[in-house]
This record gives sequence, C-alpha cells and structure tokens, in this order.
Amino acid sequence: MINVAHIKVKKGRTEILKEATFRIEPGKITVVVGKNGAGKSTMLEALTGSNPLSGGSIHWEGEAMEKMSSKTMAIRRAVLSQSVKISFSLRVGELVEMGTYVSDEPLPQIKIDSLIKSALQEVEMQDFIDRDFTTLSGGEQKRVLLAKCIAQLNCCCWSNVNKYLFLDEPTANLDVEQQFKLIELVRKLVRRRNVGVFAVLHDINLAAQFADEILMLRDGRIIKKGSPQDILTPENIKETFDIRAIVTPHPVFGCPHITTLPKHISESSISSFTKKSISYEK
Amino acid sequence: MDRLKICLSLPALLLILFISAGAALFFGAYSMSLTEALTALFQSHNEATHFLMLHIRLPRIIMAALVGAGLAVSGTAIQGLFRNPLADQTLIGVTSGAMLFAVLSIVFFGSIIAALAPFLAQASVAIFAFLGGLLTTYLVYILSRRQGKTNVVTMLLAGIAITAFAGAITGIFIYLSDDQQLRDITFWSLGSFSGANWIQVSILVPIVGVGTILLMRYAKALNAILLGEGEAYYLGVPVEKVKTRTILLTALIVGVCISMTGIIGFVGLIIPHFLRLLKGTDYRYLLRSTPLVGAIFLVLADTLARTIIAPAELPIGILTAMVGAPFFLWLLTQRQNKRMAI
Repeated sequence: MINVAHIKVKKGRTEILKEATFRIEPGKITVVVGKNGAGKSTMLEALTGSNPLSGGSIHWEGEAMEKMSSKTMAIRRAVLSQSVKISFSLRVGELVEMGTYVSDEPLPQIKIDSLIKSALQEVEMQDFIDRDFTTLSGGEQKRVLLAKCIAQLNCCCWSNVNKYLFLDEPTANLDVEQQFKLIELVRKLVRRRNVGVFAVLHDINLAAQFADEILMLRDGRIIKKGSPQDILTPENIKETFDIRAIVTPHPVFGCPHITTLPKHISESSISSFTKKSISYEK
Repeated sequence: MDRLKICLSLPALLLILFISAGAALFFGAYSMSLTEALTALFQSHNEATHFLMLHIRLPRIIMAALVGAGLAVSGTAIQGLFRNPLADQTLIGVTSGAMLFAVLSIVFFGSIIAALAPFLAQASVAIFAFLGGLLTTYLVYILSRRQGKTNVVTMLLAGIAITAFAGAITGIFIYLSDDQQLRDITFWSLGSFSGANWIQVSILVPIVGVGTILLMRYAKALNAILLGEGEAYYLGVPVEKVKTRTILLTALIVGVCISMTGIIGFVGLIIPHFLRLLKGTDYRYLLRSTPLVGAIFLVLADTLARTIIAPAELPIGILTAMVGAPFFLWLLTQRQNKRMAI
C-alpha cells in the first residue's frame, strides 16, 4: 500500500499541490479527476518520485519514498506517460525491451524476447515489433508504451512485493474502441496480478466506470474522495469542475452516468430537455 | 544488406581496424616495399628506416586510432545525452575552450614557458588546451545546474553562448598574433598527427581506453534517455549521475585528444550517425562500434593526409571535413527520402 500523507509540491515559487492525503491500495484503481491546472499531473509526478515534495510524506509499504533509489522505485512501479517524443528512430521491440532494464541480474536473451513478445501480445501490437516507433500513430504509440510498462512489471517477479501502475491520461489520443481495450487491459492487470493503479483521467464517465476510488482535486487540494457511487453527485461535480451535471445510473453497468451541461442552460430548459429525451425513448 | 551487417559486426570492425593500421604502416612520404617495411619494423639493420617505423609511423597510427575512437565514442555519448542528432562534443564547450587556451599559449605563454622551463615548451600548447577544454566544460555545466539538476536545454544554449564568447576572445588573440603565431594557430585549428610520439600514446591509452569502457556502462541508460529524462527515471535510471559522469568522461577524452592533435571536426558527429543509420539506435551496439569505426576512419584519413601531397602533409581536419560534410548532406537526403527520424 502507498500511504500519502499531507503532501505539498512547489514548482518554482508557486505551490501547485497544497494538501493531499489518501492511499493507493494493491488490486484497486484510484482515479484523480479535476480541472486543467488543478494539480493532477503534479500529483502523479510527486507519487512517482520525479518531483520532490515540499511537505508531507509518501510511504511505500511502510518505506519512506525519499530513501528509495530510482531502481527500487522502478522495480515496484511502472508509469505510462501521456506521450514521449523521440528524435531518433527506434524499433518497437527495442523500446519495449527498455522495460526489462530494471532487472538486477542480466537476463538471458530468450527471457527478454519472451517478455517483449508477451507484453506486445497483451496490447495486440505483436505485428509491430520491427516497426519504427516514430512512424506509429498516437494510439499505437500509447499501446507500445503500455507494453513497455507491462514488460517492466513482469520483469522482476518478486512475489512478496506489491506492484503499481501509474497512468497519466491514458485514454488521450485513443479512439473509443481502444479506450475500452486499454481499460480492460489495466483491469486485467489489477485482477490477475493484484497491481495497484493510480490514474489521471479527464473523462468523468470513464472514471465512473473504471475507478474503485475517485479523488476530486481542485486548486491543489483533494476536496472529495470516495467510491464513484458516493461522490459523483451533481454538487460535487459542480464544486470540482464548475459545470452543471445530471447524474443518472448507467443503463448497463449501473455506475453513475454523468451528463455535463454548459453553465448558461437554465433549470427550466433542463427539465424540458429531459422530458423530450424520455418521450423520444418511448 | 546481410554482407553489410557482417561487415559492421564488432569482430569484423576490429579486423578492418587492424588491416587498415597494418596497411597504413607501409604508406608514407618515404615509400618502401612490403619486405623492406617488414624488415625495417622488426630488425634494426637500417637505423633510419627502423627509427621511422618504430618511432614515427607506428605511434602516429596508434594515436590516430585512439583519437578517432575517443572522438567518435564521445560524440555518440553526447548525442545520446542531449537526445539530439546534431549534437557533438563542441556543444559542451570543450573544443572552443581548448582552442582559446591553445591560442593563448601560442601567442602569449609559449615564449615565456620556453624561457622558464624549456622541457615544457613543446607540451605547453597541449597542457593549456587540455585545461581550457575542461574549464570551459565545467563553466557550461555549472551554468546549466539548478537545484541539483542539470538542464540539458540550458546546457545546450550555454554551450553555444560560451563557444561564441570563447571564439571572440580567440579572435582578439589571433588579431594580436604575428605571422608565425598565426600559422601555428591555423595549423592547430586544422589538426594534425605529425607530432605523434610514444609519450602521447601512453597518455592516450589509459584515458581513451578507460573512458570508453566507462561510457559503455551507460549504454542502457542512454537508450532509456532516448525517451526523455523523465521516462528514463521511470525505468530506474539514475539520470543525474549518468549525466554528470558522461559529461565528465567526454570532456576528459575529447580534451586529451584534441590537446595533442588540434581540432579534428566531424568525427564525433558523422561516425555515430553513419552507424545509427545502418544499424539503428541501440547504444549497447553504438558505444562499442563507434570507437572502432572512428579509429578506422582517422587511420585511413591520416594515411591519406600524409601521402596525398607527399612529402608535404595535409592537415587532417581538412580531410575529415572534406569527407564529412558531403557525407552528412547525403545522410540528410537519405533521411528525407526514407522519411525517417535519424
């Protein structure tokens, strides 16, 4: 379990993250939502160790994070970044192999090859192994990067260590089908390997379907946290995003389904819209 | 393509290096037949040719190989660190600093040192150039450090600024120099192996050798840095340590190389490019192969430099640029044709 207590993060002189206390549990999906500039990405950087804290503490299974080396961190967690830009040509296979660099002892080539292959199979990109990464589309690149994370998590199989996966807006650049596939894949990692997931998501509906726990972030503070059912209410959504929302049960999954509305629409026109859509259904 | 792949394998490159070095022994201003050359190398019947082989050609060839290896491997490491295919060692200021201090030594301190300590006179340019290279790199390095982190973009820009500034001061000294000094400066800036001796070789062997081996240890780290420093950190790479050490090792290797030969351009830029284009961007291969190819390149270039207008000699920097610049342009068109990122 990752225990996050009262963390603060400064960038330059501005305090981006002012107060955040929560836990990331293995086998659970924690999602943070909030407006642009609320501090979501900063929070992710702080949790992954790439941005130093200016206050508070983070403990990984009781171990203080500031004492952990970059290698120890990399054995326990993988990070799926929003995107990477590279200026050299690089084969997809070579990129995925980088996930295995974290291994302490030199791995035999057969083991490395099988790690690469199985990771690419999981994201259905096995046919792209010899392609140049820079020639792939945004969505394909994202899947290859996820394969790299999977290779990294599979590389050091320490049964006694909990592993975590951090996702920074994983569904950006993906078409609807790929969004579902990616989420299904992450869920599989959670179910089968008991991986703990922390994700920054823009899409509240995706968060509602995906998350076990949601953190609502505003101006660097967590203003609400809890299960989607408990906290995705019109009031909380308004407080977090400054928008009006209608929350209904999802017709298939039963989780909250959020219809967002621009501010200028009045209460009376909302009710007339709702009536129209109901009569349309009939 | 398969034949090319075999040629570029490490044992093949090593073999090519030995063959080129062997061949280079027999070419020169004083031409010899193969048997003559072999006798001269192993027997001291003929004092003059024996001396020529053992104390002039052999150290020179070894030095060309070592400098080629050093420049190529440090160019590779710097391109990896800066994630920029156009980077080479000039970016960290080592070349401009060495140039400035070499000129300083030629114009001002040369005569003073010759008067005070005659045994140092010959080496003074080299010592100054070496110190200048390290000093400038250090300056560029501390300018780009904030809160214990090195910003490579700042470093790149600081490198450009410091290079321009050093160039201006060099210009002032050139303006002040007399005709002989001007000639010395020009030749130094074009590079040459003509002064090669065993003392220089014995300094180059440990620095280039150990430096290259230490750089090879960062091959995986440089691979990961291809994706960005943040990504490399996520993959478990101690990014700051790798950066600091790569810059230090590169400055040491390049500093000691160019202090002895003068400035030899293009090797650090085109050799890594050449291999990357043919074999892809894996630093585990590149850091092993570029020193070999760099060595082959300079051994051949130097052989050409000392035979093409024999008994006179062409400065090696002219040859490397003459071969390097068109090759670089060809590389650019290849990149456009294939629509690939280099």
